[in-house]
Amino acid sequence: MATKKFRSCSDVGFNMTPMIDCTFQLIIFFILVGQVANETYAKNVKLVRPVDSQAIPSSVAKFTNKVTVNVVSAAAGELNPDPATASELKFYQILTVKYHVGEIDRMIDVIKKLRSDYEKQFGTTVSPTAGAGGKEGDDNRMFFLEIRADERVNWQDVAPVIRAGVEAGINKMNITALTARIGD
Amino acid sequence: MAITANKPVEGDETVHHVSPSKEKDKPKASMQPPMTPMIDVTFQLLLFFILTFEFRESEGMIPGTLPNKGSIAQSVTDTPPPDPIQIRVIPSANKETASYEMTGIGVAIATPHDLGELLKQRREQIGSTEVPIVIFPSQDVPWGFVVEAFNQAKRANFQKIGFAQQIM
Repeated sequence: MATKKFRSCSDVGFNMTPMIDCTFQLIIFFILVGQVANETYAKNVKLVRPVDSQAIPSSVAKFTNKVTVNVVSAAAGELNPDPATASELKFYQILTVKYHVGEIDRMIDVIKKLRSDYEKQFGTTVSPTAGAGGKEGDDNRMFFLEIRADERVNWQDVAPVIRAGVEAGINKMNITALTARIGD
Repeated sequence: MAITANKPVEGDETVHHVSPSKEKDKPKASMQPPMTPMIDVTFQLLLFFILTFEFRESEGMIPGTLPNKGSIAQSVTDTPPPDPIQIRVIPSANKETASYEMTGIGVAIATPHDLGELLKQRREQIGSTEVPIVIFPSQDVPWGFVVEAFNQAKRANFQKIGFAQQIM
């Protein structure tokens, strides 16, 4: 006579292995893709993605010998900003310090100081091929100005940053923009 | 009634012989470390990454140069410096678009792509990348359109690209 076998409750269980596999895959993904936030980069800066962008990805060109000047729009972080507000400047940011429109001289002093600190540590920062009379220097150790400006801000608010760089005796400038998308 | 030899009887501690073939069939006792704490920590990590993760678009840098401080005069050479190509950036009334005007082109250029193509043609005509490009943005033009002009000049392989202020 056939007898019916019953399993006890302790025998019933989920197969955990696929779930743990997926979890580890996800963790590896997040570890590889994640980036440590750079506090010298202001939040909510809407960068331009130019047509056929020539921007070299930051992961390829890793520079530390730079001063980043963020130009933040008055509409930073707003979902539906008024275009007139968006074109206004909120503040400039160097490292973690914010500067307002009338503080260009202070900005120049800070840029000069950062440049001289770098120069003391690593020697000359001026390439003989750089500047108005020459093309870009090949020396990757040169100190440069990085302009990280919101695309909506007026040119008249970015021009003082370029002037500050010239005043501080910097010969190289990099403009931050979004890189070309794959397939563009 | 037959009694099987291997059936354990309570109180019977006799060691019975097990044939090698039956010994092989027995499941081996496995040593497994406790998985629960590891899974707990793994989930904590996963939760942390999911909550703190922020999608960001890939940023990059368009390289350029700045003029030397106070040096307006160029170095004296046998050949005079070539005339620069001037690009004016003019915003529309609502600032949502901008047009470009270029030296030698009588009409306004509507898109950055067209500007890039014209610059490429100009570079091929001149046969040199050393001709300076000077971008003249209007005071109230959004920075994005200025970067577009700079980017197109880079795309056309010009080496000397600079900005100038328009005199009002």
